Amino acid sequence: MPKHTNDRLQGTLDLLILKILARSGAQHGYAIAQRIHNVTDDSLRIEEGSLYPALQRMTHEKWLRAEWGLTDTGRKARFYTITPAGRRQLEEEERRWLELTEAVARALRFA
Amino acid sequence: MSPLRRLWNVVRRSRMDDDLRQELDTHVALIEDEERRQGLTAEQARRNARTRFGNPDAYRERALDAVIATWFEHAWRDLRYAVRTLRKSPGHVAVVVLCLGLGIGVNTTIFGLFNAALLTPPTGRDPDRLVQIEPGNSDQISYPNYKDLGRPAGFEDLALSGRVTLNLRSGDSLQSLTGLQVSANYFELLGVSAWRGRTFSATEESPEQRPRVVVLDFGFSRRQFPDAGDVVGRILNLNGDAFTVVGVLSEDHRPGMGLFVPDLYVPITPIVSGRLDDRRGGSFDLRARLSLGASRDQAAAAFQAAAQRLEVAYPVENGGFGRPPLILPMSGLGSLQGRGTPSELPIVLAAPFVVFGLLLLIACANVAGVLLARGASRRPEIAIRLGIGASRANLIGMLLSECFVLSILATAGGLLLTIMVTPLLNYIHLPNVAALHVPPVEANINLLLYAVGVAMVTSLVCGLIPAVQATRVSLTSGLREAAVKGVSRRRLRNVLVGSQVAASALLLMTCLLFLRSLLYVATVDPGFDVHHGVTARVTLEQNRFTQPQQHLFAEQVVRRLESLPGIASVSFASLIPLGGDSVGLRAQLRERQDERGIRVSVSNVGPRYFETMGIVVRNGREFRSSDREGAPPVVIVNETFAKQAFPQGVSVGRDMKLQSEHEDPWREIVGVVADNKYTSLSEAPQPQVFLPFLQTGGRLLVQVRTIGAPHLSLPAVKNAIAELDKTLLVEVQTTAEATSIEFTLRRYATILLGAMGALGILLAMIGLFGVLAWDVTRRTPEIGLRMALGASRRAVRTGVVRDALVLVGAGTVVGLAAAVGATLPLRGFLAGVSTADPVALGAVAGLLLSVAVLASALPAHRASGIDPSVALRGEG
Repeated sequence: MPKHTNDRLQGTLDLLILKILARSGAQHGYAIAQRIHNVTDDSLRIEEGSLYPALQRMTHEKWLRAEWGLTDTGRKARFYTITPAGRRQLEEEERRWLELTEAVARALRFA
Repeated sequence: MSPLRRLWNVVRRSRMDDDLRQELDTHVALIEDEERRQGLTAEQARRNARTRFGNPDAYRERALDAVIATWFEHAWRDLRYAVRTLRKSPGHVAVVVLCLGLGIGVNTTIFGLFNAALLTPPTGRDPDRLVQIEPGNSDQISYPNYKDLGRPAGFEDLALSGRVTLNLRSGDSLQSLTGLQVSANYFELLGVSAWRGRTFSATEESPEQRPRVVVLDFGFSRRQFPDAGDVVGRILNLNGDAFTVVGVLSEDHRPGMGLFVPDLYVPITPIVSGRLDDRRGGSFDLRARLSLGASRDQAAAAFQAAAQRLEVAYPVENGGFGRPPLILPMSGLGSLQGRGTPSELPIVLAAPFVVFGLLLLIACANVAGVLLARGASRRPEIAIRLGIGASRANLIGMLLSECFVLSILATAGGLLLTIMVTPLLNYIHLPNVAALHVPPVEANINLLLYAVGVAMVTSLVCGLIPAVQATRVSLTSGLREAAVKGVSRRRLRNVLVGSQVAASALLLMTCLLFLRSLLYVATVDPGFDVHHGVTARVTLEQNRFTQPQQHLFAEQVVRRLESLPGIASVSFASLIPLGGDSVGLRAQLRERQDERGIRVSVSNVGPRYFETMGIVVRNGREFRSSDREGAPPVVIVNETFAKQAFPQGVSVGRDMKLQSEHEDPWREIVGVVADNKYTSLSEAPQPQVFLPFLQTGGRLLVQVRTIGAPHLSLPAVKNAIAELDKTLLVEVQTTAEATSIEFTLRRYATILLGAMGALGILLAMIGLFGVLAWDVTRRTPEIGLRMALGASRRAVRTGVVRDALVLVGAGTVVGLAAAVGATLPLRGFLAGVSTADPVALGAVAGLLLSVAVLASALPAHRASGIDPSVALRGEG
């Protein structure tokens, strides 16, 4: 079974994917990768090797729904949309992320 | 994600795989589009896209890993691969499966027996609540005590059972059956109902009513009435009384008494049980069902309280009855903690497992050797696999699964062997022991678990070392296939063969010790004449003979037989020495009543018994027909007793008595006879006491001394006794046969050990041959070089044989050293030989060394036939 050496990082990727899909409509993997690069100004390199396992996992968790469709250029691609369960998960992850960053920030201020 | 979902996804894998491939292809294509928009050529765009994206196959694997139980998939893939590779070498598979199958087969067979005899609970409802009870004073209980106990708190019910021999007459022929006499609630207590008809009803509970009803065991009913449809309502003539069959038990009924299966069941009545009003001692086994929720300790306390009341009420008869009882389960090892269990039992139970386990280990070592050699020849393959990124764990998994497939095949073969061999065990007839009823092997969960466990352990034992070794390949040398690198692997194989030889030496040593004991026992003088004796075991119909009638009948038999030609003298006894029966009591002397009595072996014998048996009377006289009921009580003792009891004095004329449940009178010693063996040929002389049969009684064995060869008189003796009373069952044997139980048992043990030893040495020989042949092949260039430099063929041959001798010699030394210690627990079964017997040690060493020479013959021949020029060129 695959081991996730860094749960926090995986959670971050989940969070980013959910956030992107919640803002926009259905997106395919390439577009999601592009968006991540753009919004993070390329400062967060998300490898494609991590993206697809995450998409698979989240689809199986029923946070995402996957449907085949055609891109603007007429290529067959899998489009992901966020489900209600996925939105709940997003809220949860956002809340946890904020808590964590606040805690770290506090620690940095007063330590 | 739940593991179940992940496992389910395995099935959907190929669709998921296709989808992912498509998805990743699209991703690469989209990058390519992007690159092209920036003005690159199609060719450059594609190349850039590939580099930017990375290895799509690896991503796909990772994506699948996230949602599929890949461990299962890998295991499955390894297994399929193992089956494919093994199919390519059927010969190698055959050897391994044969070796391992034999090893596993004997183990599952012995476990099957063990399981049937000990681990399987009796048939019935809720067997966990069934217990056997041994009261404080004995391992059995008397009928009046059972009746008066009632139902102590914590028990739902209590029931009695006891073995009984019954004579079944059909037409003119008689046969002896082993039945169980039970209280009427016995079947109800077990929770067993009849397959046909019914079991016993409450009205059959009172022995006074003498109910003549019988319930048959399924197997017996089949054997006895093969063609009959319904046997319920039939009449059986048992012990001269007509019994009605009221029911037949179902085929799968197991009484839970080891391998003993009664032919039939009768209610406890005076007809079959004799007197039931004697409170002392006891002759019945007590079984009970605990109440729901009652613990064994609570039940034991309640039982003890009830038993103490009975001890107070009958202090003479029930001495010790109120001591804490033993409450034991019906099955499992815990059921053996009773007082009646012989102290040798643990050894007897464990020994087969040790012996067969050793054999399995030898087989495992063999298979490990084969796999090690196979691993060596697969080094290039393994190196390539490591080179393209397989992890070592992956490879070990792959090699182990090969071994696992082999083990499964071998286990299947072993179980097949078990199924074939087990019914044959029913043909083992031990003298004076009812035939074994070995139940057929069933799809039994215990047996199956055991077999799977053995398969797992063997595949690990056989496979792990070779797999670890095979994958210890350095990439460069592995690909170059350098033969010189085989040193550590060679050492490993040497250790394997050495331990095989050691284990074989242990088996052979044990076998030889038993053989030596057997030969020794054959030369031991039993102290009586076995060459001119005929022994007739006469089973009387108990309800028709009172004790005086039995005495008269015995004397009648003597008169009738004495009139036959070729007969020198005739007598009778309650048991004959070495016949499988024994009675042990304590004897008290009139002069030294304060001392604890001497332990003596007892038999009741008729007039002229010592003359008939050929036992010398040293002092005094032998019994006469006037030593009967009403005459002064007398006794005869043997020399060992006389020496122990009266070290300086004369024993004839002194008084002694036996301490038994039945009050025995003071008896005057009227004779001293020479010692003879009593229970075992290997025993030291035991103090023995003989009582006059005509003042006591017991089972009736008629002993005849013939003038010529005894077997010639067998038919005449049998007919003469049968003519006197047609309801008797007579079994006639020569005395040599009747006293051969010990010899027979020893012979069985020796044959079994011999077979295992031979099998072990055969396996070791195959292993040794394998290692030598492999070694010679591996060393071909070296040997070629030696020969080119002038070594003679003879020197080369000697070199190979010497290697074999060193290997086997080391194994033998270790094995024999272990044997001397390991056979110590068996000392009780050995006779006339010590565990460090030099003859046996020498024989084993000699045998194994000649095996070494034999196994090295072919490899040595091949080595000396190596052509130096070819060998040196072959290396390149």
